[in-house]
Amino acid sequence: MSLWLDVCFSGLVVGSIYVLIGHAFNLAFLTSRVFNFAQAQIIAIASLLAYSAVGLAAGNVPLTLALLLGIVVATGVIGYLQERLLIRPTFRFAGSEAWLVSTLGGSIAIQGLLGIIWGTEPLRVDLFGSSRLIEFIGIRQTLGGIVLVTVTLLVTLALPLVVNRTRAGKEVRATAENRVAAGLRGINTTRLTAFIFTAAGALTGLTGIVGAPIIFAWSDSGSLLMVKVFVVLSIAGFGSTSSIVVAGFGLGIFEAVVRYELGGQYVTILTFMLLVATLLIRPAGLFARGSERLV
Amino acid sequence: MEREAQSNLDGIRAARSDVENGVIDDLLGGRITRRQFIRWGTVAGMSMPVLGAIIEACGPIAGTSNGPLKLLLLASDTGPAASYGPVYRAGWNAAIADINSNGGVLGRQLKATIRDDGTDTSRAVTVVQDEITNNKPDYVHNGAISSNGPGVTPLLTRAKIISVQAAQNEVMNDTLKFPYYFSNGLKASTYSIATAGYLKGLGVKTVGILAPTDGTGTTLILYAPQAFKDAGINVLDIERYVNTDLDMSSQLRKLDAKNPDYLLLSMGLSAPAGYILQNIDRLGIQRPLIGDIGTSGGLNENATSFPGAKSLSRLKLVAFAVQARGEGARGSNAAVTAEIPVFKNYENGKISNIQISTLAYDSISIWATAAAQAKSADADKVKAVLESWEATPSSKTFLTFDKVAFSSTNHFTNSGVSGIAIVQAGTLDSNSTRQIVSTLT
Repeated sequence: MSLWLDVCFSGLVVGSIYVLIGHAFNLAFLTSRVFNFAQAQIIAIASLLAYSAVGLAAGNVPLTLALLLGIVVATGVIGYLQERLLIRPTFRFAGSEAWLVSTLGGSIAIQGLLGIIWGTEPLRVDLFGSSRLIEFIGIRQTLGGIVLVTVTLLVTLALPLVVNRTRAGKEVRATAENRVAAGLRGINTTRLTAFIFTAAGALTGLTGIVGAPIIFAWSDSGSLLMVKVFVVLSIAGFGSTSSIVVAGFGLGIFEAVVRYELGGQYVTILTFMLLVATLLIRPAGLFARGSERLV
Repeated sequence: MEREAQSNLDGIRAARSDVENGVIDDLLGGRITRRQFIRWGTVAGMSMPVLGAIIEACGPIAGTSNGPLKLLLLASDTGPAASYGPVYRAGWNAAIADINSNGGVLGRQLKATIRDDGTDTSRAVTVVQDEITNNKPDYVHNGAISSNGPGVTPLLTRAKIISVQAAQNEVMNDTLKFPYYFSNGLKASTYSIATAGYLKGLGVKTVGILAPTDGTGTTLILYAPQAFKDAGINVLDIERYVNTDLDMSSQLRKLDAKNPDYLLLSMGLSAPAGYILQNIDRLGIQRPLIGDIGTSGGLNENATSFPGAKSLSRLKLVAFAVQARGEGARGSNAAVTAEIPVFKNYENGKISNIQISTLAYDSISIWATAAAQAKSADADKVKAVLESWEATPSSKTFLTFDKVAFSSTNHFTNSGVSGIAIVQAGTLDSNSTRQIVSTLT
């Protein structure tokens, strides 16, 4: 029993990364209808900055915290800049998919730049003793893994509150529902989109920081995770926080169980079979109610 | 015929002055053409009948009739393997500089044409065809990518051109189909034999294997079980992972549960190595560990993801001995540049994956040694000498593997496990040298 708990918790840790990035992509997509490929690179940026911050702070906890907070703010700014430079200009060409090229190009450029600055080898990040082992109810996990799951749960609980109970959240929902109608009702959708991309950038940055002890700081990590997140969002469908949680955690646990029961060579095959099956059975997403699916 | 010609030439030279013999040497060394020889010989005082006799005597002496020997080297300067371009060039240029400074081959200098294959076999084929048509080389290095072997070699077979490259793809070891193709890399199976031999020496009875699903892992899985079986070691379980996985703890749990004496890990160079060691630490697996030849690919480079992992102290790596010496001091190749001073000229003596450079160096050196022994650059004669090395080893030693041996039925070097070392992974010791645990024999 404890063995299975441990296997599943390992899946939960990896799934947490999928969930957090899924939330960030979902947030940005809702107001823009754009899958921002360059957003995934913010994970790599944040984790590499966290690596440098740990070295710079040299064990000074308040300074480390301040630097990490600064990274979250900085990644928010990067999210804003991505919207401003890679996405907004493409809206001039109504109906075109120019954003696909601009965000993909931006993603490749950022990855290359990170490789030049930090190198292409993974760098180990230890945040506040994150590699320390903790054992509970038969589960053996690092402190970093437990913090990652905890942060994911907190973000998952907070997001619906923000979306449902704040003015900005209501504007996001209205814009997601019908961008033109929202504009006619007085919502500045352009400014709202920029704000949401900033928030999504910061959330992706937070993911990069809390995920760094698990996935390392690595210039290729954004591209690596982008594929996984695409699978999660394809299964979940855009729009629902709960379906992203189920799909993200579910995929993480599914992968861990397949590796243990059948072997690592079957993970990719079965994951994509699961994706196809979901698209056939629930084409609008896990918990969608018959509306047209977006991915 | 050649012996007769040499005898005639010796007879003529005995009656000539030092100046006249100097001109004859220039002709033999390929430094002057026949036309220049006639002009200079006349100035030196030789009569036309004597000049004609010398040219006739020199003519049949293979390797003395033309200018420099031509080498065509395919470098992947662009494309996915672009990072290998400078590493190969360092080895080739070092070999050519060494050989030329020692008088060349058969008195002829080596002249290389290095062309970019773009890490693309179809482009490599075009380049080779172009060179064969317009500037036929005496030797070709097929480049960094393994698919160039089957792609380019048929052209070289038709044109009767020797090629030596470091390859593991044993499909190319068909001496009837590819009679002029030789590989100075070890067969893939040899690395498994070396690993099994080392573990057998430690008294290991059982192992578990973790390997990726890529080509490296598949090759390991192809040869390791037989090698371990031959060494009397039982492979209890083989688990696979995908290189994009973030967590390999499920596979490691299964392997550990089988209770093997040793875990053999194929981890590549990047994040998976760090994830695997991190997972081993987290699961508290205390077994001794050994990484395959792919794991040691860049001893100094991949160490960045290792520091901090407790399991690192229990990890040994199968590596090239020359690599262990060369990359002993982080970022420099002090030991290797001591062996081959000319390497100092390249990137200030800093070459990552030094064994790639030494294999490139050896590929030219092997061909040049055989041509010198054959007293000819003719492909059939060089081939015959190379095929004799298994029965009569060449007195020349090489950098990567001291002994290089071929036969008429085996064109992949049968160097055994010499040249492979077991090294301690992790941070360097206080002398900044890599700790070699065992040099295999």
